[in-house]
Amino acid sequence: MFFDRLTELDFSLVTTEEIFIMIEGYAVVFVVLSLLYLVFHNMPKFIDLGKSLKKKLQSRKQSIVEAAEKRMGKNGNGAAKEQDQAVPEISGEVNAAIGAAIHMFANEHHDEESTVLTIEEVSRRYSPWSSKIYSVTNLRR
Amino acid sequence: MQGLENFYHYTGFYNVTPGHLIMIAVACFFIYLAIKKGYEPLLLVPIGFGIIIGNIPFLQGADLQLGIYEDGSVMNYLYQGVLKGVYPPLIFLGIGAMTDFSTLISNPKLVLLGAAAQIGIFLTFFGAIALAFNTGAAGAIAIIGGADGPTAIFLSSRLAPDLIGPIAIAAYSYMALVPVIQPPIMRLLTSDKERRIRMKPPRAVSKIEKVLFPIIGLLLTAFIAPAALPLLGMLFFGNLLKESMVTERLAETARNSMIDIVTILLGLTVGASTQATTFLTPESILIFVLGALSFMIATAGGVLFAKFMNLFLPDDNKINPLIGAAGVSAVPDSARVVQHEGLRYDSSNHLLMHAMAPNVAGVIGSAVAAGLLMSFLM
Repeated sequence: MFFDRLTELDFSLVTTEEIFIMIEGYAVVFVVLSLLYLVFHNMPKFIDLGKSLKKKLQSRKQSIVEAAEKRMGKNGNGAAKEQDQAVPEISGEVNAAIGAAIHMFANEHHDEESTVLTIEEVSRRYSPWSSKIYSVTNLRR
Repeated sequence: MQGLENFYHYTGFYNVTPGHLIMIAVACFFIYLAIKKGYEPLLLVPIGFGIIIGNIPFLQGADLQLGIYEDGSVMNYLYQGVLKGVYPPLIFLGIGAMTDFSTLISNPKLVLLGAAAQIGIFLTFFGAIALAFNTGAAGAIAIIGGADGPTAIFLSSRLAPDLIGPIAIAAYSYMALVPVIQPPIMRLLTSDKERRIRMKPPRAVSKIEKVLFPIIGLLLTAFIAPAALPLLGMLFFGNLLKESMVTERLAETARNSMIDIVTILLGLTVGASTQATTFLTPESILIFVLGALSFMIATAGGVLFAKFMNLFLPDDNKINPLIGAAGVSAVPDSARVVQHEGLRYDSSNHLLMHAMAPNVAGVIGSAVAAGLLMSFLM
């Protein structure tokens, strides 16, 4: 019965509407994922654009403040200016190296071992495990 | 004596048929594969044991309320989660909360491999109709090629509820057999030189990109295929819980306790739905054959499309075509298979990270395909 069904493969049963569903369905899957590709391919550019706009706004703000301070005769340079300076971007590799160093420091996985020896006194107590009487090599005579 | 005879009529020994024994043997084989061979144990153990539960013979028509298809039985209540399509979106929530999309974000062109591999679904749809299945059943069978168990269950619960058992078993079986089915196709379609291609390491992805991905991803996919909303909505919601970093407790629950509970219920009830009387039919065997074909075509589609993309890529930025095979969902098994195959030909060429991109794109692609088939065929 099963093999009968297999040999009954009849492509004339497939209507044009079903072929249309097949082609259109596959095309739409491609379109959806292509859109996702396009958006995320350009995402770093959008983010960089946003960052540069923010920087521009900040520098403009800063120049206005500086100009205002100059006009008022105050000295705007110094610690405040240093604080405003953008923090340089650190690459992922540097971050990973810093992270690894902190982890090793925190867990004392250092290369040079401490050379200080400590000797802790252990009181010897009787235990059948260390007893000569119960030793396995203690053969009967 | 009469009482004893009545009791005997109620026992499994009186009601057993060869079909029950075959199904119990299949269940034992699944459990053996899971425990001894380590093939998808989290799925095959519940499904295997569910098959045993579903195939314990008992007196039919005595209104014992035992079988999964009998109203009022405990198993029937649990099975409602499958029939009503409740469990698959919950599984997707957990998958979203445990999936890192950063490899896909860092190299978004690989998303196209996830789209290419969906060809298995649509060609199998064609084949199923040629084998005289009605359009609903053909759509439900075709989705096996997406290699995504929850998506297959979700779509078959909508398009062909009578076929949920065989479709789910076929989908999960082929997911478990990824390491057996995919490598020969990958080797057949690639040259030795292609298998050794080294890909550029993925760039670091910023937090803002990771947070934007589930939001933009949902908007783009669900606006075009709203029928896939239960799956895609939960997938991207789970991912936002993970990536936002402010809902760690919720993400933790979604990717651990919740997905575990739903996997137990889903596996057990899907297994129990394979009662010999409803499962052992020529249609079930045809579904298995079509499912296998679908899976193979999907794998080949991904690999061949990667080779096609290489025609347009510069020499220093080629794609290793092996990763195309990961375009079928089966997360993360097919990516693991790609890694293993890559290492066979170059012991220092690690492809896992690259393969995860088409792999997660395959999850999105198969969910979109399911949504489209639903909107076309319902």
